[in-house]
Amino acid sequence: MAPPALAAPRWSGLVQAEYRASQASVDELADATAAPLNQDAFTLRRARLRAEDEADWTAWVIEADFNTIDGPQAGFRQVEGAVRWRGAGLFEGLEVRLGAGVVPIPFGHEVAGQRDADRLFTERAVFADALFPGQLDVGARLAVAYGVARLTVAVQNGEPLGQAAFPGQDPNAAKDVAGRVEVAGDLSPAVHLAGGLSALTGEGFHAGTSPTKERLQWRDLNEDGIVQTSEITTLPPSAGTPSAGFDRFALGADVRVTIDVPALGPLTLGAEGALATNLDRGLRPADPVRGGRDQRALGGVVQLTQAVGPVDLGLRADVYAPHLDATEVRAGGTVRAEERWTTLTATVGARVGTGGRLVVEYQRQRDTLGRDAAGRPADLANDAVTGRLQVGF
Amino acid sequence: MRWLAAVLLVALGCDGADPDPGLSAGLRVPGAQPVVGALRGGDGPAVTAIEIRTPLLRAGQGQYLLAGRAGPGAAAVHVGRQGDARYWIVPTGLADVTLPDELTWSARFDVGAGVPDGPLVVQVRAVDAGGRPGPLSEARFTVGGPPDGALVVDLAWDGVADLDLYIVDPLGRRLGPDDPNTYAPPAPGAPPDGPDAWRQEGILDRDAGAGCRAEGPMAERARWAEAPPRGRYTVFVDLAATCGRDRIPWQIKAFAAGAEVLTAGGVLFPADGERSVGGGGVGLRVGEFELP
Repeated sequence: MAPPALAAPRWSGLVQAEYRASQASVDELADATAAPLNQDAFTLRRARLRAEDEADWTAWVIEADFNTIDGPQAGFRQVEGAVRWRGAGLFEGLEVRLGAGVVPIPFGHEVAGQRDADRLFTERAVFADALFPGQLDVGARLAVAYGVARLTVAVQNGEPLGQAAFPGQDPNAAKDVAGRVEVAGDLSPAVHLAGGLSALTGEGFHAGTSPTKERLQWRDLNEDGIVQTSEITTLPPSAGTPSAGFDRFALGADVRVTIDVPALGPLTLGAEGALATNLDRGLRPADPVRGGRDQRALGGVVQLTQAVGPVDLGLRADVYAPHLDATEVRAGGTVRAEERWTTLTATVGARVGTGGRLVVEYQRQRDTLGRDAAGRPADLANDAVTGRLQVGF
Repeated sequence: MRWLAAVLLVALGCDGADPDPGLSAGLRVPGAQPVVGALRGGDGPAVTAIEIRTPLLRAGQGQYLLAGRAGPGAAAVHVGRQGDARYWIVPTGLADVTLPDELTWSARFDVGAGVPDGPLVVQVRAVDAGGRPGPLSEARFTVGGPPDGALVVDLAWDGVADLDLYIVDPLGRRLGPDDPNTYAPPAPGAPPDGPDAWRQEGILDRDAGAGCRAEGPMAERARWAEAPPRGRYTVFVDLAATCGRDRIPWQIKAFAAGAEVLTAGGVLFPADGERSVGGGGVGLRVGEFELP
């Protein structure tokens, strides 16, 4: 008997290459990391190749990713094997899917609901990338869909692929549990409504320290460049400190309305928000053990897109406050540190052929990275313009 | 492409704090906010005290302390070198312990490698919460001059890179990052040296740029406090890591008893790393001098 023929997977791909220019670009290297500060550069943002297949009881996805964001990199994105069951008879319309591997974190539309190929804006809102860098984590997820409703629950390591420390690994035994319930349906032939609620709970990891040996330290107290006995101090051996865990959680909500505007095309209005504690793993990684207090974060986005024939227009405003309780010493007292990123984005995209898109985007960024004349946190000049060519199949 | 993006940013962008790290400034305060402009005095709160540790500065070196107090109402102090196109914003801190009406401030500054020898004036002014500046105060320093020590060899280079200074003394002992002190303990059975004997030998102060870390100035100094061995010294510069740079300008100066005995400079390229000490080479031989 001839062996069964290998199933032909369904292939899809995406290439996004862009030129970005920023007011913050400087032809220098960063003091601490020696990373380039130049931001006026061509970048291969994403090159994705995805193969997937579904059978009666099983499904799988393997997605490769290539980019030059931090130099040439090749890796993978979603890699998932799943078993699934489709109801019949009394359970007609019910679908249950249990998958494992590298799977999306089911939290919010920005992280779990949108595909990079479909999004008009070049990148996600700041808070989504800060809380869930990379959008994917290793674990298992259970999805149950029935009619207009869908429930997804995932148990994952809690170390997303895009974070700096332990990406794709897990330094602690505790797992993050994230869940999202979403509803999508047509209110009328021209109006589509979708929305969801998300939650996450888990435990973060504070790394301990290794024991140290005795050391000598020279501090040039009188700055004469000469070693003097009084400037030498001994640093005694120190004991290692244990690692520790800390609780983290997040709540999120999102809603989108799509209206088919006659003679123009779809108009989509969307809003999303998230409240998180000790969850930032991208922009200002949370470590309440070291910081001595919980790190509460608040983020949200409001956006509008309108299709006008082959052209898509988009406006987006997003805000992210990574540490609502951060303080600093200034002008004789301890004051709130006022950390906040606000981005206003205007985007024009022209669809070309099948899967092609040319995008020009302007980002007005307001943040607290600079200082004004009185030493208060102030906006740093870092607005950016991006031109992107996207081709997908 | 770049000019088009620049036009768009200028047309659409709004004012914001300067993102330039100010590495070209003659005086730099790492971590502080740079502002393009010159310092001018006003009738706002005054800087009431300035504390320094040394009046003698070296071009290309840094972490010099500049601290002090400012009068009531001061929200920040502005620090800049007289003649520079930039100054730096340093927020005031806690109230002074002995003068609780006054606020403390503190900064550590670097002196650019291109600052010429001679007097250097640091201007400081306080500003209130409304940005109203107070009168200018000054701290006066002197840059350069022969460094202290019987024999001093300075290596400085431009930009983050891992260069190492090696010196072979007349006794054939090599001073470098792996052997930062030429002192050799007496042989077993020989009478012990005094507790400070190691300080009389050559000492290399630091391994700048190691691991491509941009910590402190990109400069290393070898120093014999007194009575360096007589004879011929050979100086090498080793390119341990380019840290992504395609050219690294460097300069060496050696002083014996305050007199300059060697000056050398040039540019290292990635190919120079092929003869690095880490790769089994000896580095680039850049000069030699003799102490009579």
